Amino acid sequence: MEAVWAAVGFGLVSGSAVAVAALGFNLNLAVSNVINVGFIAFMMVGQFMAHVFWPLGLGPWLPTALACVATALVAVLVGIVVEYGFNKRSAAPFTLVIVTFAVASIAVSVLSVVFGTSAYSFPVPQSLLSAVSVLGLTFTWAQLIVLAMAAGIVAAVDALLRWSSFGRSVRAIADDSALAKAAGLRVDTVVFAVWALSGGLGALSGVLLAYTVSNFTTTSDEAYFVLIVAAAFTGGAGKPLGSAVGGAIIGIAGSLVAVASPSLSPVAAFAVLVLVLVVRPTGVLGKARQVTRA
Amino acid sequence: MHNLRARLPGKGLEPIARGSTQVTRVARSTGGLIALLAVIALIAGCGAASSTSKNTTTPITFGVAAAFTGPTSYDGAIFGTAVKIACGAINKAGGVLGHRCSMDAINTLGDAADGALAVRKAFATDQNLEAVLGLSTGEATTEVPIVIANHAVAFSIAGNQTLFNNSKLAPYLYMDQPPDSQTGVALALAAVKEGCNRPALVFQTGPDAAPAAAGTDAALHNVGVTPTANISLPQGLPSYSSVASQVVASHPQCLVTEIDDPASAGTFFGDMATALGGKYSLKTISDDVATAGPWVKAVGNAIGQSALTGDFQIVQPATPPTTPGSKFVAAQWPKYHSGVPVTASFSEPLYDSAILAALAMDQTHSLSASKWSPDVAKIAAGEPGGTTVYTYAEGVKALKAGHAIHYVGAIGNMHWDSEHSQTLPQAAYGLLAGGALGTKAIITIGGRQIASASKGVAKSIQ
Repeated sequence: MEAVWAAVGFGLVSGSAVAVAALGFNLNLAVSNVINVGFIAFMMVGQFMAHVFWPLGLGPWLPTALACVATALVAVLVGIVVEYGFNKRSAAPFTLVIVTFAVASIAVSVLSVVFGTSAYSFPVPQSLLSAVSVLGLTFTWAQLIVLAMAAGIVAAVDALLRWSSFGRSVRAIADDSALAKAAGLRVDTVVFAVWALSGGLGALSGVLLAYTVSNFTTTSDEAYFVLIVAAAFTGGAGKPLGSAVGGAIIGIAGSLVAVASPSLSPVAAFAVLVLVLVVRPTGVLGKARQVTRA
Repeated sequence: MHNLRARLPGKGLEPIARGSTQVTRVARSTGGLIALLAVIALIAGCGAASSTSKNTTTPITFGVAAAFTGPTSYDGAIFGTAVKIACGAINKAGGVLGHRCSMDAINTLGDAADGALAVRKAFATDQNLEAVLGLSTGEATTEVPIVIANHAVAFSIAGNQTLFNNSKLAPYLYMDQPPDSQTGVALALAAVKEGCNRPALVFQTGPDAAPAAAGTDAALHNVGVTPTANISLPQGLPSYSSVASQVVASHPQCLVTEIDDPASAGTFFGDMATALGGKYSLKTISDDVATAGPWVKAVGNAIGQSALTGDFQIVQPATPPTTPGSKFVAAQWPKYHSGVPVTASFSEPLYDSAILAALAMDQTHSLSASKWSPDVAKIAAGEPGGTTVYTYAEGVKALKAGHAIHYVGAIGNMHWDSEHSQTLPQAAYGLLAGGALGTKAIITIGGRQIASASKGVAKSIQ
């Protein structure tokens, strides 16, 4: 029983970075109706941009902030290609998936050429690696910081979407972009702002993940896309707050399965996704919606 | 005038007049046909003749199948240099049956599919390819069958268990490295010799580590030791905290492990450090995957370089004693490739394999693999009363004098069993900064110990 309860704690930590990533993925999906297979490229760009900016000091805060800005700009560029090149021309959804996949592949290749295949890491002070017990769960201080940051980011984005005019615009476009445009909303501006926000969240999740797993390479994030998609759809496709729920569920499920059999841990995400979609196809917090393209 | 009729192609019988242009045309075409048939017969006859009747100006080729470009081009540099040095020694002593030796770089790009294409192309373009050396783990299962199908001999440094289990390949396949399961046996014996009677086992899921995992498990069983935990670790997860907790909770005295993926290794050992209270402090015994640069960097980032160099030991084939052959290889190496160091594990066995192949051809007076291949093992094992030789030149001289020979090469004695597999003594070395190994073995494990503890290792490991 102790091992099971410990696994819940581990799952929350591993699920926290996934939750932030799923949040960015879900925003993209909600507004652009694009399954952005290249989302992991935002995570990798964020990690390596933070690494590049690290010598500027004030790590991890300043490098991470700059990495978010840089990745947001990259995301906007990707968004321009996707929206003007394909989405506005009514390209098939599968075409959009392929385009985003191609973008991710290009990003990985460029990063591999520049940074090679070595492992990189962000330094963690030894004091943050000491253990602390919270509600019977054992964490390190660094893990608690990651958890707190993930929770804070999700709460901040949720507040932005609920109470700001930008958030109202995002929700309106997510519900019905044609109606939103007819109502006078600047749909294109909001769409590209969401691409930027998605990129920034990707960068944040990449940095959080790098702290969680101790190191990162130009290919190490590829395996997380499955977890991100599983978390996004488990929580509710296009439902930003569902990402936090989905991330927690996926993380805890993986850790619990690992207690019984580590080899089965990778399939836990799929099993949870299938179960949720059978029982509640819209996801835990999702609701059925009809999307009309502007 | 009689009309001479001749059947012209496609025209049926046509009347022909002597002296006419038609006769000339027919005569030319008939003569040309006869000449063509004669040339074809000549070429076919040459091909069917004994292979020793090759023109001695034609060199024989030893192909080296490895990555010569790309991220793993390090392999090609090491393997190719070793065989070039062997060819240099062979040519200096007059070649093989009068034929000069040359090395052909078969660039596999480090990939099984690309390697298969490259090996096929090599045989299609080089009729003198006698043997292919290198053929490392990850590529060998696709490349070795092609080599053998082309009636050449394969000398492989792979640890793939499937190759060792395939008796159809054995006559033309020589394994220059022990199978991975043997490495696993050595890991287990190293742990026990170090006083670890409560080891925890953590091996990466998948075909790369499976043979070593099976070898370790079987060897511990054979020596009466029960692991406290035996975990198959899937690659690429964001957290191994549950696994690390299980391992630590079993109170092991040491960890025996092979985790090939550097990122996964970094994550796992980082979580182990957390589970151990924030500092990694468990004696850990791994094989030489833990000496690769990316692996050392990833794990060092996770647990600190001091923990890596303080707690980790690496088990691999023991550094062989210095022999005349190893001195020769070391002396020649900088002339061919100063960019990479001699790596005893691979360069010396490949050098010795090329020399043994050449001596086998000399001994059997044949360039036909079916005739010389069995003599490779015979010369390596030696016969009672045979002359021990340390170089190709000495071997040729002894053969000319009518003596049986026993070649002791750069790596020392190479003992191939009936399936052309080797059991080599292994040793544990300390892991130093940057992935280097300590020069002095902490413990050694003899070949007989390994063979004895290998009983029951499943031969059907895939």
